[in-house]
Amino acid sequence: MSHLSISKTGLLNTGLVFAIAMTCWSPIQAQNSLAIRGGKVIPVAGESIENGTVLIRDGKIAAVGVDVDIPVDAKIIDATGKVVMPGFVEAHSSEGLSQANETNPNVPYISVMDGIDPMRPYFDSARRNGVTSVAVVPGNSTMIGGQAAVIKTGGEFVEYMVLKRDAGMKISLRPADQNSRMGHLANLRKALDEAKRNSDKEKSDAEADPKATDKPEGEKAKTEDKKSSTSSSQAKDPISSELTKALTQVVEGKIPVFIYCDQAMDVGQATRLIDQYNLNAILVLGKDCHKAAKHIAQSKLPVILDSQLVFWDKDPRSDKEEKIVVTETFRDQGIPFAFQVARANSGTLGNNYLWYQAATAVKYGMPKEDALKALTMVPAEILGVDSFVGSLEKGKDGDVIILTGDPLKNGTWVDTTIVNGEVVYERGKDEKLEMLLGNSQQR
Amino acid sequence: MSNLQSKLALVVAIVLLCCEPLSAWQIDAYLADTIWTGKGAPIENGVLVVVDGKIQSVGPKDAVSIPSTAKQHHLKGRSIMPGIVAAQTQLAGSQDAQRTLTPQVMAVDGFDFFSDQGEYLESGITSAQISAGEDRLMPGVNAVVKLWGEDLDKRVLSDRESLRVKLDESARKPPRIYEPMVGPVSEDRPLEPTKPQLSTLASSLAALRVIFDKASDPSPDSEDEITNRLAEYLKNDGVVRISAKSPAEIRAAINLAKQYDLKIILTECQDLKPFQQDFNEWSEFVKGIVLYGQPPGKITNPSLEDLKQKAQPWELILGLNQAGIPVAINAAKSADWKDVLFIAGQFMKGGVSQEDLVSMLTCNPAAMMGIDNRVGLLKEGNDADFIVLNQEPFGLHTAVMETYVDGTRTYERESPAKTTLIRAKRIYAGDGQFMDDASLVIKGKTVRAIGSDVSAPVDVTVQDFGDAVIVPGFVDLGTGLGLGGPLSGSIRLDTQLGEQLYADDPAIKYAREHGVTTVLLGSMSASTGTPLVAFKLGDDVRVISDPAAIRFRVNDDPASSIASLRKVLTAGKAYHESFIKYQKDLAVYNEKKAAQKKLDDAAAAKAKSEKPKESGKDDDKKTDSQEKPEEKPAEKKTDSEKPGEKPSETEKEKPSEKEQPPADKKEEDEKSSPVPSGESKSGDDKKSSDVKEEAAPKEPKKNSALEPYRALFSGQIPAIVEARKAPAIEQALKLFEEEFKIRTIIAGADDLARFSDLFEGYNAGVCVGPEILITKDRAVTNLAQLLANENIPFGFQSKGTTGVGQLPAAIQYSINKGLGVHDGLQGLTASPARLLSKDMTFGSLGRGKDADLVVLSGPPFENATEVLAVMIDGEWVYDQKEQK
Repeated sequence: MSHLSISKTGLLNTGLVFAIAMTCWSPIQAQNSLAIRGGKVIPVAGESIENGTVLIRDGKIAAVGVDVDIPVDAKIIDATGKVVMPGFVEAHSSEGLSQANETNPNVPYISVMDGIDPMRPYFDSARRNGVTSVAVVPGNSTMIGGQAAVIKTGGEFVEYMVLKRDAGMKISLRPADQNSRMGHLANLRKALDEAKRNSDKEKSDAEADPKATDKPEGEKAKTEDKKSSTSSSQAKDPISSELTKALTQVVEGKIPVFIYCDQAMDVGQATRLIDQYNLNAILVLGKDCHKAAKHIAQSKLPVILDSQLVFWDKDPRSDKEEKIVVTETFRDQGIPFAFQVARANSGTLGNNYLWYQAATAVKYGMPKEDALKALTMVPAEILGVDSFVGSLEKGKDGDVIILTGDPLKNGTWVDTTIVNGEVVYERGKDEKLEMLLGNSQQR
Repeated sequence: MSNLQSKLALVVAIVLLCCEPLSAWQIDAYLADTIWTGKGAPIENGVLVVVDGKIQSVGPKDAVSIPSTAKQHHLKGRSIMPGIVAAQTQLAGSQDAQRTLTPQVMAVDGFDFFSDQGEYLESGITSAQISAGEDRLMPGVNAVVKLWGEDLDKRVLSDRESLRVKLDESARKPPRIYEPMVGPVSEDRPLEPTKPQLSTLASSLAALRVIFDKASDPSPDSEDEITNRLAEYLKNDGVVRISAKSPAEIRAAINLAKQYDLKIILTECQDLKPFQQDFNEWSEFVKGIVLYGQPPGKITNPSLEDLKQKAQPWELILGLNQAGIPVAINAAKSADWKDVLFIAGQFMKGGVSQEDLVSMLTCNPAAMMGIDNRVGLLKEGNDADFIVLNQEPFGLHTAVMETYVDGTRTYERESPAKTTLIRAKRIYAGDGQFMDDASLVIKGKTVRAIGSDVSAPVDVTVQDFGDAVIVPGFVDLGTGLGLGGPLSGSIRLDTQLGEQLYADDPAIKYAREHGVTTVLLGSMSASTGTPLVAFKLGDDVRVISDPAAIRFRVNDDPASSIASLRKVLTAGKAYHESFIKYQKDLAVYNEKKAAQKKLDDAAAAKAKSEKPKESGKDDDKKTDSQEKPEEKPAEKKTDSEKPGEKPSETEKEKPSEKEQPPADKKEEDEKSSPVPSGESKSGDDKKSSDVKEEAAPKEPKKNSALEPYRALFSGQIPAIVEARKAPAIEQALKLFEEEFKIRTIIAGADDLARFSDLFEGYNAGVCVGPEILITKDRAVTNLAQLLANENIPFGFQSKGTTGVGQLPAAIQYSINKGLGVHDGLQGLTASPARLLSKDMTFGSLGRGKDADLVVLSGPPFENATEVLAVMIDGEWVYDQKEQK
């Protein structure tokens, strides 16, 4: 599966979702315009603009450039001496969930939408660190862990925050439940086989009833479900059809899958599964997976890297230690990637921040422009939300961050975070930061 | 017609020529002594042509056309066989599912394609079956994978090779069996209580029958995963691989196969004897048997019953082979795979041939697993998975040198073997002994073993010269080799000829092509003492000793030359004796000093023991007693410098220091650092000599021009005295051996032909040459033969430069005229070495001797005999084949 096709199908899906979501957003959206001017604008898509202006109207970017007519009623933020760029997109995180994984490892029917807690400190710190969109995905200790969603980090109710509701199904290849890898995969195959059978049955049912095909795309699934529950020879109760629906959509390629590969060997199994079941997949990699970089490059799958980007690896036979720079390994193979951050309670502090991951990549040779893309455009494309977020372009969502200096520089702060044209974070009003650093550090 | 044909052929050739460059594939041709294809007899002098990771052709060198663009790899002395196919491994991991019957589990899911399989590749294993589990009745479906490769899909040779069934006891009371948890979310909520596990062979069989029954007649709506999977598997003619160790288990497996019409592979069978008669019947449904072997080395003490009952795994191998049941040989433990060739070699005890054994490691397992159209067999279209061995597959010292997977070299034995084992029909040791069908083991520069059966490391490079004869490298006692031209005139004794040698002298190459490996170089015309340096004719000339001998000449009219030689020798002897005296004096001096030191020590110790008593009384005395220990270190210093055998450095320096100071002071007044140190030293000496009262013996002044005489008079080196006429010989012997007691070799000694009693009463040896056959008074005398009969040790000298190589031919002529072959050989090898010194390590072949040898095509000195190869210091310096 190539990038392109993912974003296409993603677009179809999100188009639908967005249409619904828009109606929800409108009441709380600022009607007036917001202009950010005077700063250095890095739109990611295109050259950076010195002394540029970003105009947001009705939550959407209306204009980006030097000569932008600012409406009289527009609220103006002066960004002189600062840097204006799109908000970061985090491609994979379970932090927004009250609990990362279900106990039962096979729960394709659940969705993170029911488990996101917008009051969690995670969202606070996300805004503080310039993350405006995040894919909330069930954790890695699972088999089929449920559905992910892409949400904005600003808001109080998930329904208002959501950007893409069925962003993907989480499948983990790390054996859950003390199972062996073979047993784990056997169980996974069993579930996928069943989904495939369901899908085939539905298709044949739909063919038998030509009326179903006349219905518009969005409604199709619903009617199919009804149909199968009523007319198929082996009538299934509506509950079980509801339970299998999500996985059926996965094997039909309608929903992408986040496949977590714990070890390099899992990458091989993942690609086999993808070929076998025609999955539309995104690889979520573990630390060890750099060994499979060549194979990943051949498969042309989009990848989300592990939070550990630089480490020492010991060769088991020669005991030789080798420094592994994951970003360089993948760049050598020409694989575009997005970053992950470590869990909040992991040992080191640095890789808890998305920008730090990009800065690490730059330190080891990644061009700065590419690193910034890996924070914005690339994850947006991987998640299929690149028509809304990931760059400062006319028509996209007004997700903008204003930095006190060059991005990826130590000592640069996020000054203001704007989501959908609304200011959701200002450093001057950040009480927690003030408590932490004291007044002297501010301004 | 023929014209047309030839034209056609030409056109075809042109077309082919045009086509070849178009193909971007790299073509490799591997030429080896033998190629074992995996099936049938090996191909002698075979070629394996590999294009794009696949075998294009394989066959004898003459029968296979090697494309002109092919890169040729000459694997001299090596053999090629297919990459070993491991018939059963646990590379998929050993953790089993938590249920007894899991036909849905696939072993390929458990294989880590990214883990390094280097240890297997080193052992020559390129593909491996991977088992789905180890301790369940039906752990899952096995797979076969390649152990190297970038493309993971291509590496899976079969993802459903066989269904594993384990009837042996390891599966009967399995650990970690699933005990369902009761919980509301559990998808597979247990409706039935936990059942006890199957714990006997009978219950295992009963369970298998139930599910095989169900699977052979599946109901279309069945939701039971186990039977569905099994039915699906069996529908596609899936093979069942049954582990059955004991006869009861084997019988159960056979019954199962018969009842359900299964194709089975039997593994881990330990006792097949009861079924000997059934093998022919078995061949219909037994696709193969995997036999387990392990390397010996661990001594166990089996009970007497075990000894009686336990059959060796290879006992019935011949019977199975004859019945047409393919046998695969497997390592019992994963750690044993590194010895798989040895393990398989043991099965030769069962009476099977090497080619059958190769099949049992490669083609048989591949065929029983249905992958022989990819691996296990070297044939057109198959994957180029093969290994290169240093010798035949199951030889005594077989080792895997290289491993190729898909035409890519994935392993190459590091550091080419340093040890060489040379075999020949006959080896002459050089001292008159010879051995037939013998081997030489050479490590580095020396011979480590010689004999008809020798020990050698496994990675030894074996060179078998077949009917050839090996003799030690030849020695020439007088040449002008190594300087680019002959030396003329007298050369001072202190000349270090060894430093002036240069290996590029073309004459050296010519000499060693004829078997000469060691020569003495020096001026052949000088009359008084001139040094002779002994060196090896290797690619980097190696000086053995410089000088190795001193050469003199006594003229035909001896009176004057004897007088001058006596003068020279007297001076040399005086010089030598002055050192002898000095060394004696020094020894006495040291002895005395040591005694004095003892006394001093005792006194000091006494003073020390007295000290505590006196310390309280008198401060002055205390300082006195402290001064004494201060003196002692100074004495010690001088002591430590002197006891060396060699006269101490300080004394050698002293005279020069005494002379130099004025000059030094003038030149280096400001620096002045060397001067004070010199002064302080002499001051030290003064002190010590004051204490000792007796001066240390003074070392005689060294004279480099006379220095070699010390070696001469102490017997370390001989004098080679050229004397041709009888009076000269007589006088020379009298002067050198009788008067000066020098080890003497008479060079030339032509008149011995007339007066063979000249040597009576003397121990001197003779250096014959350049004329060996002496014509005197119309009679031709074979001097070498004469000396051999008189029991006078002799060597040869050619006095040549480019002519050194003709020496062996001259001796051949002498042999033709009566010299014995052994005597001639000794005169060219061991005798001259012994004449020079007992400590010489060249000239003969034996443990610890230099690896200088000549490989002859036949018996030495025969007309048809040629020099095939020459080795000097363990390095081949000449190979006849390469020259041609």
